[in-house]
Amino acid sequence: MKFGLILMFDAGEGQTPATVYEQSIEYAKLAEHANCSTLWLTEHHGKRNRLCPSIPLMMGYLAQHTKLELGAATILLSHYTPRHIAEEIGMLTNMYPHPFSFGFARGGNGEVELHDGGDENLARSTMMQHLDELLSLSEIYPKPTGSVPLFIASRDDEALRYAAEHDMGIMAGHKWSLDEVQDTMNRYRRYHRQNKTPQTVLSRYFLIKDDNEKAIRTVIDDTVQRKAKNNKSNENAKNPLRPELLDSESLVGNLEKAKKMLQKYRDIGITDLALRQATFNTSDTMESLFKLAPLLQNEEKKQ
Amino acid sequence: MKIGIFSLFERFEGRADKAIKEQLELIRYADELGLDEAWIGEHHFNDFSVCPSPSVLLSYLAATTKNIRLGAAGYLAPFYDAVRLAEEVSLLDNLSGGRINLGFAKGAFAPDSKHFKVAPEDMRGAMFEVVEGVGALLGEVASYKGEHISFYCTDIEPKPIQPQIPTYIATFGSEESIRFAARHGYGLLGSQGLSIDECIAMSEIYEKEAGYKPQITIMRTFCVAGTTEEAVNAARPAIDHFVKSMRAASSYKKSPIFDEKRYTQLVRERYEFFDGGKFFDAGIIGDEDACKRHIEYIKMKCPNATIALKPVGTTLRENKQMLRIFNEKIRPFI
Repeated sequence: MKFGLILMFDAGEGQTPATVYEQSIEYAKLAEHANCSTLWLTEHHGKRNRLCPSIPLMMGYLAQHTKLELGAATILLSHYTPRHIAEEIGMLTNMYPHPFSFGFARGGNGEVELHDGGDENLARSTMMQHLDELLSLSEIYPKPTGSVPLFIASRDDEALRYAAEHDMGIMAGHKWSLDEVQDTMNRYRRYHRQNKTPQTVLSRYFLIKDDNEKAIRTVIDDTVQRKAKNNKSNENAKNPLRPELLDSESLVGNLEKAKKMLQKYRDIGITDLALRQATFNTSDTMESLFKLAPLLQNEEKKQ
Repeated sequence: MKIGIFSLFERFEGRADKAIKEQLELIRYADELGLDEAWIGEHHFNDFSVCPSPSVLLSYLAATTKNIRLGAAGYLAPFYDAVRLAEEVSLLDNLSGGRINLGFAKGAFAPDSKHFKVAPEDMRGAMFEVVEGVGALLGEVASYKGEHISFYCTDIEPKPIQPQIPTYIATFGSEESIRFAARHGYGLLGSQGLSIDECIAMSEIYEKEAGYKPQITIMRTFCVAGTTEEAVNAARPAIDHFVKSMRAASSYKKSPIFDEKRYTQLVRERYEFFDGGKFFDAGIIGDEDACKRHIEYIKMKCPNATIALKPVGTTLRENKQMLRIFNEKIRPFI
């Protein structure tokens, strides 16, 4: 199992965009120290507290500051002209020696509302149409310098079938239960001509504190508080959290729990764990990453 | 007078990644030398001029340069979603610490029009709308309803650092585009092939509409050598190959292969009837004195102009050397 850190580009109170981008460089360095191999970048639009509207550009910037693999989690493909994305992928791989990987999704509620009038089906079908166009493009220059892993983040049957038929990986969000993740992986296997288990990126909240309950309470309080402060940004977020998943399926709690969870993820066939900040307290996040580092190193050795 | 560098990420030989990395290094070198502006072109489906995504190249330069202003010259506006482009520009302005210039062009190549599904006759109109749309989005909450684009009550984040990002329209002399720029207070970008007389004519049209002269950034091929003859001979292969490759790219042909030995022979044979085109005629090509005189002439005729030099060596070493000579021997005297 490979490990990575998700960058949300969160702007806390009083933070300017410049400090958010500087902080993302700090996180990248920290992730390197914590035995992560990937930085996963996220994309949001029109949000004052999430400040990365373009993953390829942020990859082009951050690649100067880190040697880690750079992954998109995820590009909201219905918003883009597929040719532009293909060209950006081609350029990045020609400019940098880093491994790159790209996940595609239709977007969360806020983005779907903004771009597709709230019609989730339209957003998904546009995403799939654009993905198909992207994969069929031949007249693109420069071509990517090597193979670039591609992923779909969706539980939709048609999307999974497409991913299996094209040997793409899948991405599972932090709000998916492990049962849902397994169901998704099983359906993928059925659609795959060789019943292959997909490369699966699993996103999970992490916050390491000695007291499990206290850790979970911190995450819930933090999320509620933040939601109240950022009405504009979260007005379309229907379910910001699933507390039951924090309790039994996340890396929120003590190290003993984290160890068991890592084992569980490995047992169900997760290939990439993407760690998602569970609190907006930067020092808590950094401390948690430090605490997790030896565990991640041990897990890597087991490979 | 402000001096910049213009790059089209030309691949004379070897792999695309080498050409891209070398041009990026040349721009970093221009920053070290203290040049004022870097301008990056946009070409698609082009195996000679490898710059389909100016924004990605600019994100690299935002991270690796310190003072030089950075811009696309220009974004081929009809092929962009205005909201996405405004987001990219604003993000770049933040990543570069407020050093972004914004240039737009309409695009002219047949393959672009086909692949991006914009009819040639619609390109100029679509460009005007995207430019207006992006301009509005870089301010506050914006709505726009046009023939080609529309968005409603859209608020991009992050906001740009600069209260007003300097904006330019690239043109070969279209009165419609010049008047559009004048009405909005945008500057003009003049191509490598425009003569100074044509730039003056553009400026006059602009002034009639706006009541003042425009800021013009003029792209110029640049080659300096020990003697003017050496400079002319050194510049010809690259310019000739550039013209051929652009002709190929504007149709559906493949770019020709660059063969320096063959070009040298051809250039010798065709010395008297060489057609390097306007790119050659308008270029700043010669020994140090000839280059100084040429720049002084531009300065006299177009006092508002910035010159963006496009060194026409076919290797990084040659191009760096030319920029260094420019900075040490020419720039102090203009």
